[in-house]
Amino acid sequence: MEFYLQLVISGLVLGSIYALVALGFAIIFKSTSVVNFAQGELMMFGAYFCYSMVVQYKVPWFWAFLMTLVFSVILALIVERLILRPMIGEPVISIIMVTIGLSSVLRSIVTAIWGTQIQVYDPPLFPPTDVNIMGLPTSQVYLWSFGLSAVLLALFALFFKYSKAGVAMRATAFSNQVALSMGIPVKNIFALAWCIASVVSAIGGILIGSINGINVQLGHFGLKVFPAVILGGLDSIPGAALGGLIVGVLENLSDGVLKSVFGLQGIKEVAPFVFLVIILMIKPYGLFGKKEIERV
Amino acid sequence: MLTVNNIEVVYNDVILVLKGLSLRCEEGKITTLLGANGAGKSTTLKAISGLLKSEEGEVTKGTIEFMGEKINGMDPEKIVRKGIFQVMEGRRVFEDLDIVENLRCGAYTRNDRAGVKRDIDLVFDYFPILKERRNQLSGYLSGGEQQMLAIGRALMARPKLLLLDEPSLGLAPLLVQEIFRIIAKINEEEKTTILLVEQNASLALQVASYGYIMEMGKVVLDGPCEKLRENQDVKEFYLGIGESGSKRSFKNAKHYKRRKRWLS
Repeated sequence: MEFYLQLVISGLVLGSIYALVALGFAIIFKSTSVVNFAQGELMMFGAYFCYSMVVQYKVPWFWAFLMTLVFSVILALIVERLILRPMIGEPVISIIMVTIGLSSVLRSIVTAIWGTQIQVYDPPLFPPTDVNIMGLPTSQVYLWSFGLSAVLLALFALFFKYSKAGVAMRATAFSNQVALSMGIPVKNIFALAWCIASVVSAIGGILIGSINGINVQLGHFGLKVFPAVILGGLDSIPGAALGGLIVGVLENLSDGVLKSVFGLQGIKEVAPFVFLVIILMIKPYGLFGKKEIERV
Repeated sequence: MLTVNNIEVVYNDVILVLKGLSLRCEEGKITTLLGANGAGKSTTLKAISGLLKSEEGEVTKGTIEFMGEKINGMDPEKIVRKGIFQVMEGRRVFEDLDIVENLRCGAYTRNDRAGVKRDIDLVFDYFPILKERRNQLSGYLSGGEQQMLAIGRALMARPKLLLLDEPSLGLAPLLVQEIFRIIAKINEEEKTTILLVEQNASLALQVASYGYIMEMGKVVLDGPCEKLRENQDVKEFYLGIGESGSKRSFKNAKHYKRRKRWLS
């Protein structure tokens, strides 16, 4: 029993980070209708930058964290401006190919600068001691990661519901042209979407890096976010959050169960995609994704 | 207030839609632009509001001046800030936003929170039905309610010049009357100048004070609305009234001949 509870807890933590990255993914898709295959690489880049600051330049964590956020905003602006903006109005498939290209480029840059070795944050972001939850020793990294993700998700939910920019982003997502006719600067909104996506990904990268260490494999994490996003519905932000949690827990549980009962290894890597296929068969629009509202 | 001077609009660098169109809107008045499908009415509005850009269209000749300032070529968001707001054809409300959020989008260019709040109430005064449904997703509203929302959303920007593109599209006759009544009321109470594009010529000529009739990308006839209403050609082609005042039968209609005369 304790074993399963452990699995659920680590699943929730993993899931909350999925949720965070999925949020970034959903924001970009929602407002610019670009499927961003470079999400994982944005995350990796953030994590490595923070690593450089903390380990190589000995910057205190707080400042390193802030600098990473600023860096990821700049990165997003560059990417949006140079790569995505010229593509506005081009066919979807071209834009998807561009983001795939972008992901390769980012990954090569990271490998060129930081190499392929696994790195760890030293000093760690959170104290390494364990705390007890319901009798289970749980590492503080887990708690903090979960808490931070939850707070960020809640903040973004409020942002989209109440702030002017948030509502404008949703309006832009619905129709660029109509948003334009309201005087909403659609290009700035696109840039904002990329910035938010990049920032949440970088935070996700730092969190996952604190748990598992940072290496180039982090980029694949971005791919594993797909099942989460699709489970939630590509364009739904609460959906992205819940999808992330569900996929995280399912992934961990199925891995743990299959390993202990049948002795199967490596289920963790495939499990989310198995769910993905099942979800698409049963609910092609995801749990919260909208089919268009149709008036008859 | 608005002067459109001999403009040409080209889509995709090849398709010439407007061929030397000119019109003026007087401050505080309703001006109407009538014409058959494909005459270029919507294109004219989009040329004024700058939305042409998002459709690969371009004003290649002529000028558009608003309050003495040349505005063609400006970004649409800038033009909205100057005080021109277009209500696009076919309602186009943000379907997955609720009514209040839609209205707040209309007020995007404004920064006075208190004023925006007051204006939301003002819109609810004009359209009480919207107040009842204020927290509903606007995708679930009826066509008439969506049109009201689209007009209300435009009011939120406090425009000096409101461009209305076929507000009667797809609405029941009674609702059309209601919408036009409110358009006239807005013009009167808010002193908003309105440029109205319509298919429903008889209603448009009733609320407006000056009218332009377009064909094939040009203005072929213009004048004060009383005059236009009396014009034989307008009566026949747009109001459907024959020479003796009776409805004409298709049997003896020779539309195309007289239409040709206009285009010569």
